[in-house]
Amino acid sequence: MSPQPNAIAVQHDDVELATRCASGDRSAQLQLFHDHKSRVHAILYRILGSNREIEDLVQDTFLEVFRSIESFRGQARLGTWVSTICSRVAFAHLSRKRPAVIDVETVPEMVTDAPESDAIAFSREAARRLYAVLAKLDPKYRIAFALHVIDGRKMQDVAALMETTLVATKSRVWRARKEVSKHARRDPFLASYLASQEPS
Amino acid sequence: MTDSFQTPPPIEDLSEISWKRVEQGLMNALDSAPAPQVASTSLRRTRVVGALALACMTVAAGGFLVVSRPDRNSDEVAVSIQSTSEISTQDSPTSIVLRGASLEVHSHSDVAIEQLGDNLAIQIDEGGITMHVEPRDHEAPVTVSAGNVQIEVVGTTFSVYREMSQTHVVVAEGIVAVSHGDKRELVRAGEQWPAQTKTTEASAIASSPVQKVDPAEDQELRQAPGKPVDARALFEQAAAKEHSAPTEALQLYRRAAKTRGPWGANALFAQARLLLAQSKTNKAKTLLQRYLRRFPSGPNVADAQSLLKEIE
Repeated sequence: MSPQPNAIAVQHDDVELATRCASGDRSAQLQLFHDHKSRVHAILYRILGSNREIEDLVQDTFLEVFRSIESFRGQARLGTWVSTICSRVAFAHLSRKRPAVIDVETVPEMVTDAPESDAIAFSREAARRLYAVLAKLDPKYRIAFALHVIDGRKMQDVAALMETTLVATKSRVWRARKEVSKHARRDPFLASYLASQEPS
Repeated sequence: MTDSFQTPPPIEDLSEISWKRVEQGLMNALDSAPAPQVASTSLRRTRVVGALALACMTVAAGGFLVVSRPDRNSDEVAVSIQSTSEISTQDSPTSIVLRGASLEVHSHSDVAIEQLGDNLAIQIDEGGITMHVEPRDHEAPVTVSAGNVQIEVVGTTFSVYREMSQTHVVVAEGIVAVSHGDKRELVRAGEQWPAQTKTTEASAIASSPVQKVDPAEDQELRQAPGKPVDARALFEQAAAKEHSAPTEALQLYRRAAKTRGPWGANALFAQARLLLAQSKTNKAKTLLQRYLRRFPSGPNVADAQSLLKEIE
């Protein structure tokens, strides 16, 4: 089936924007940054679980995008291509040895009694515990789990972002699930949160 | 376990100021390098420059930082409105009022304060602070980091004291969460962290009222929080003037040494080296010791230790 005309037009726009960026056109670079910054941030946030360190990684991602932009030929949508680079930057970041940091923190005793406050506190604490478990995993498993299980992306999309096969991606998600479940058996709070994510 | 989450945790967007900072840092990096390499150290340096350049934008966003001098008069003196401020104290402490928090930076301390919208982060490079935080039910917790220890708080009064790699936390009111590596502990009113350590100095700091400030405190330090400093530029100017104008070079090194990061470390060591060359042994010794405390993994640690041995 041939691509729809609109898709061709958009892709042509992507190539044109990429070409202008490659020539050092600052307004084009700014346009690309603004067009795709939310997408990049969302991927990084999902993988990392918080905004800590995220500014540097967003910057890393776009620097890598501009460094590699000459190689973009419109073989995929520009957004997909940027997302792939973002995933690569996140992987490199997680692969660097660094001390573990607790990313999301609350002190439940200090939160007010309002029901919405309880929900926020529960959600934050659950996220903190979940990402604390993910922080112990191989970055490949962590990214696959974050993008598929938490973010709800299709397995084949995650495979494309991680530049690997569908089978490998399924395996990574499965291994991550196994580890998370193992920790949840020892952590009723985390188990309760995971159970709340089951379809009703 | 479910295939995908039904209600994944919400994604908290970056503040407008953070986005501006990223954009500015990115553009600076693109300007400075035709073929930029993804090297974290240079990127972070660029980001800091970007943050300083965006100081005025923080004004528009409503950020504020007020430094008070209780012994001079009771009025608070606004000295800076910017996203990131570095504060160095010498023989006297400094009191600071932030949105929803008050902070006393102890004497002989180096502290960085970053306030972006509701986010408030304090980093202690050396020395200590005593802080009171109003309850933050719907805002991000205040974070304080000292070395590899991180304290998060939503409303309390507490002290943090850092001496080389040792960090002590003393809580006067409320409760804070202390993270160290992958361990996390809640520290409540009357408790201290680490629990088994004698923290005489930290306890004394927590229980003492705000100390009086020496009215003759150095004018440069009074202005320091509001001044964006390009440490690398200062270092390079100083290096160029070492032979022709050593006194001026020392002043430049001194300003650069007040900053964090690699150029602050280089400047502090260079300042000590130059003083030693001028036979100002005692001052050089103090600075070398300070270098080892502030930058225990710095590039000139071995040199500093060697020079100290020679001095002694």
